[in-house]
Amino acid sequence: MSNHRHRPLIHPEIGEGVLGQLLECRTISDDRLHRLTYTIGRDAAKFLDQRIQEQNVMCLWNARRELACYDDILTSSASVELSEVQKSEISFLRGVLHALMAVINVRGDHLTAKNLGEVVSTEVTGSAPIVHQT
Amino acid sequence: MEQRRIGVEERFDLLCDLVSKLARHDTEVASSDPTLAADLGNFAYRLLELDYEVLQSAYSKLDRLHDQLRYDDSGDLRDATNPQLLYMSGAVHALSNVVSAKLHEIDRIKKREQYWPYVQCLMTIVDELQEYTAVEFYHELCYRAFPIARASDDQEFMWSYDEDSSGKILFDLMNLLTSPERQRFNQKLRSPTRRLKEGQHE
Repeated sequence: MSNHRHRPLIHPEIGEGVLGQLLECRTISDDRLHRLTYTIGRDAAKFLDQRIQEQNVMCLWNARRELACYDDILTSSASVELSEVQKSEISFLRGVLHALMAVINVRGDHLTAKNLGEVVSTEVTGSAPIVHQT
Repeated sequence: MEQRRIGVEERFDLLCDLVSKLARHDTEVASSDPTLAADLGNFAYRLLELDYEVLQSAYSKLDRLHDQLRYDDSGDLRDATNPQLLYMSGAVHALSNVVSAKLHEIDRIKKREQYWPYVQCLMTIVDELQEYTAVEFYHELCYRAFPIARASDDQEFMWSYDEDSSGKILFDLMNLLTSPERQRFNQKLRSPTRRLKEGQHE
């Protein structure tokens, strides 16, 4: 469980690597960029599914923070001169990131509510107290 | 439960229709695209808790929707002149992959149940034996798994895996292992190169 805390949803070489290249206007072929943005959507969704199954709120929030970082990088790309294709791919990627964050939000809220429900029910019934880690 | 299922499905359908209208340049819908992305994410998550058939149908719907948003009428990638469509196509692409990952996971769980005696057999080998190469694991697995298949008259297993499909049993079963089981397996796996070097040394 704790291993996953440090395992990113998107491999940095793919995430930061591609975004970094984009923002530095380095040569990256349109075709390669297109394929990489698809890879990000596919792999992130796959890893996100694993996080959802683990039922660990912290893992989910860490995953969300990671996606938000990439979103920040994309937002800052507005000040960089980009080709039409690069602009298209950035719009596409932002859609990917926002949708995945929406999934995490719902799942995270659901898990938090569930955990809180367990605390309340334990306290009401007077069972052994649960030690909560934050 | 049934009422909730229909509710989520119907609302998801309505949302997909809205996004589809967006793809057809409906200006009324186009103004609210960020909310639509979040709503789609919300509904895709709710769908994940529903039946396999519903998930399959949602996947097909999202897949079609993605194509509609990502490509223009002539089948070319849309250019940056309409960022809203590209943004939504990204959201739909991500969600179709979330649903697809869930479908794969359900398939994996079903297959693990079906192949449980062989998964157990593999893990027994892992626990009993010292370091082995993948080929050695494979041979040991065949040696132990085929009697199980014969005893239970598991024709499917017998037909699927014959001596010619070298390594396929092992590969398929490895995909069915949980993370801790996979870790235990990997700890016992020895690379052939290392074995060769040791052999040469001897």
